Amino acid sequence: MNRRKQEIVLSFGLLIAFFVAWHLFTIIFDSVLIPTSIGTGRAAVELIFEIQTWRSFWLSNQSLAIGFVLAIAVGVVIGLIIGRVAWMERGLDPWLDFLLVLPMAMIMPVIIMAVGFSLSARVLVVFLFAVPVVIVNTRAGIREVPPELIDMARVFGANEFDLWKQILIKSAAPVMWTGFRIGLSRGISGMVLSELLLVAVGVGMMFQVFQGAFEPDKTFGLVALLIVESLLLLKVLRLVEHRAIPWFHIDKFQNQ
Amino acid sequence: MLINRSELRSKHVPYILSLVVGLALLEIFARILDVPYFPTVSGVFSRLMSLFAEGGIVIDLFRSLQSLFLGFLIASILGITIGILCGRYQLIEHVLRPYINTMVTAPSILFVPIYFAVFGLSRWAIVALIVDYAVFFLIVSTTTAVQSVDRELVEMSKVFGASERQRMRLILLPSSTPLIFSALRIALTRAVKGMINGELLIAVVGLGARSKGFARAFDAEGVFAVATLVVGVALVSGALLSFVDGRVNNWVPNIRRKG
Amino acid sequence: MIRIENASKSFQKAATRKQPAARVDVLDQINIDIKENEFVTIVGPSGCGKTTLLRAIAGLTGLDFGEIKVAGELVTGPSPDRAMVFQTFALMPWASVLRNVAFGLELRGVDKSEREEIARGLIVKVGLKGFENSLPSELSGGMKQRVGLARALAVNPKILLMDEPFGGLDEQTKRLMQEELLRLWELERKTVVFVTHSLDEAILLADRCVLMSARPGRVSEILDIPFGRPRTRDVERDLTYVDIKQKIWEHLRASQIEELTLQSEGNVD
Repeated sequence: MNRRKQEIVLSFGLLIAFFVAWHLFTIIFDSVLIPTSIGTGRAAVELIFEIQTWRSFWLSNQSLAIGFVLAIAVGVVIGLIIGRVAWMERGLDPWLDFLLVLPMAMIMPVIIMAVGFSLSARVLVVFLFAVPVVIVNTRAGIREVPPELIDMARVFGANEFDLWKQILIKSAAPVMWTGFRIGLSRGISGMVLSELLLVAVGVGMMFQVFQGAFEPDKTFGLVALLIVESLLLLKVLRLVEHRAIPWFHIDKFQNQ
Repeated sequence: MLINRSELRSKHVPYILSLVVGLALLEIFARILDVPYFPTVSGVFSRLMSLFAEGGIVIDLFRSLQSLFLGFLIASILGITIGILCGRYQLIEHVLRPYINTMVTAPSILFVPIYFAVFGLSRWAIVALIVDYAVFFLIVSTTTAVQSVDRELVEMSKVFGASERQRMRLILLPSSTPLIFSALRIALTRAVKGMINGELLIAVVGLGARSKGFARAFDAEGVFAVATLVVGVALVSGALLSFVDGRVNNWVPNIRRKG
Repeated sequence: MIRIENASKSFQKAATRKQPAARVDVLDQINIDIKENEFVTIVGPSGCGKTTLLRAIAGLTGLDFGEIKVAGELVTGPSPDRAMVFQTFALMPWASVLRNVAFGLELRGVDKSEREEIARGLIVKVGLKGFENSLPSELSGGMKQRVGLARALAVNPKILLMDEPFGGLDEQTKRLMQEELLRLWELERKTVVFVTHSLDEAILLADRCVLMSARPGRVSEILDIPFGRPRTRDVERDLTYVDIKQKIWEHLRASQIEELTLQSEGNVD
């Protein structure tokens, strides 16, 4: 059997082993709270066929969509400015570090106190979760532009505008896209957290309902759906990235 | 000396200066605004002091640190071991790749209900979450670190007759430790996040729980006080890690930026 | 064509663990006159300021003292009239070869069809026909530098500045590129200032060779290279060539030894 086939078989084997272990676990521990894999699967499918699920997802994802788009727009602008203006770069360094380390989840209730329970609050949370990463990555991207590219552009007659349009942004793009990806991931975390901790709407409310009604199947099923959604969203982002910066990914294909 | 004089002037001083200036500005802004949800910097710090004086927060801190330490330790051991195996043996990496990628991509917070169901309302649920937050990232980073070991070094060792174990011990591990340590620092930040999120959502003790209590009482100052403490914990543990890093990896050349 | 008068530049070197802060004279009263259509090489040990001098001619760095005039005009900033070829190629990784070569023209506002036509012509001239749509990541070092060369020629500059352009290439590719450059130069004899580490390059390509010394950066001597044009590699077998090479090496070697001594005493970065 050749290498590749061997790997696929082993991979699958691992998956099956996982499900077997899960099943054994439920049998041995016989906990009310832990559903079987089959139970989870069934619940997930049931959920897909319920309108309420889609309504909740729609509601939740509104904050994600708006918050994420805002985070990109604002984050990129700030990141670009900070990256280019030297003193700002150094001056804001500690604050960016601070924002990255700060557990946003803790601060969230304070945001509610300020903004109230509403879509805006949830959007703000998603925004705050995502924006630091976008800023930091954008800034890094600008800082890492090879100086010889800048020299080259100036030699060939580029003014500041040309420099930005032709060189800086294009060169920083790969790192920026990494920032978008991580930002999306964090934004999803923010979306879920805001609904579990603050405003029980959408998906968060679903969790509460399932917990209250002791429906572990549905809880796990919902988790599964959310995992699938986040994987899908990130995959879509990846695809867009490949369209936006095809040149960066070309050698990756060649090396495989 | 861990800090040299010229670095002090060009790097550390502006950093601290910026912090001080920023804090001063925040203080002024907060006073002008005079709103309950925007406490002053001084208020937050004095609140933190009084919390320590009262004592309760020390227990919370201790509890949280216990979970953090445990979770981070497990994540490190698991993460680095699996990472090294993946880096060294391509078969293992290819077999595990889809699962690790999935776990790295999916936001860890989604797994909270699962850990809650499995471990119940206990410390272990939080530890599990901390491990989730940190381990997959560590596996990927360690794998990259091992794979990026200079191939020539490995070949050189083969030429000089090194056995598999010797190669692992004398070449692979020392070469990859700098990158692994960098990854550990980032993993620590993630672990702290995991700890906080876990305590906010699950537990009844620890810093997260304490913060939740303040939040319920609309006590913004209390929330920020605990948040500052958490940031402090993250920074101190990060610094400890850096210290160990510096000791273990003192052969790594300092890339100084040319003027 | 190029008049360098009393060019001087120094910078403040930050204090390190091993020594206090110091003022380093990178360029000290450099005076050189370069005629039109002349190919001048600059060779010297590390730290002699040859790259700084080239960048000063390009207008990328300023001088503390003295001035540089090109075609009678003072150099105040970079311009495509003084096009440059970079040691690290400086190609835009996201753009095709065609786009890279046409870059200078694009910045100038030249029409797309026109600039692509000019670019294509040059791509053929440097021997890269068929690679117009390739990305830099798909090219070898030698090919990348050809792109750099084509780009510089595309803007029809008054002078061509080359900063150790073949330094990053292996010996065989280097030799090929040297011959290529000689061939291209014959087609249109631009004024060239070529900085190099290589003794062979310094002589083979040049009409005159500027020898520089370090600490402070000064012109030691300007050698005349007495071989005719068009130039071929055959000159390497000429005894005069061997003599000149020996002379340059003796000059360099003394500086190199000095450099090594300074490094080992911990006085150098």
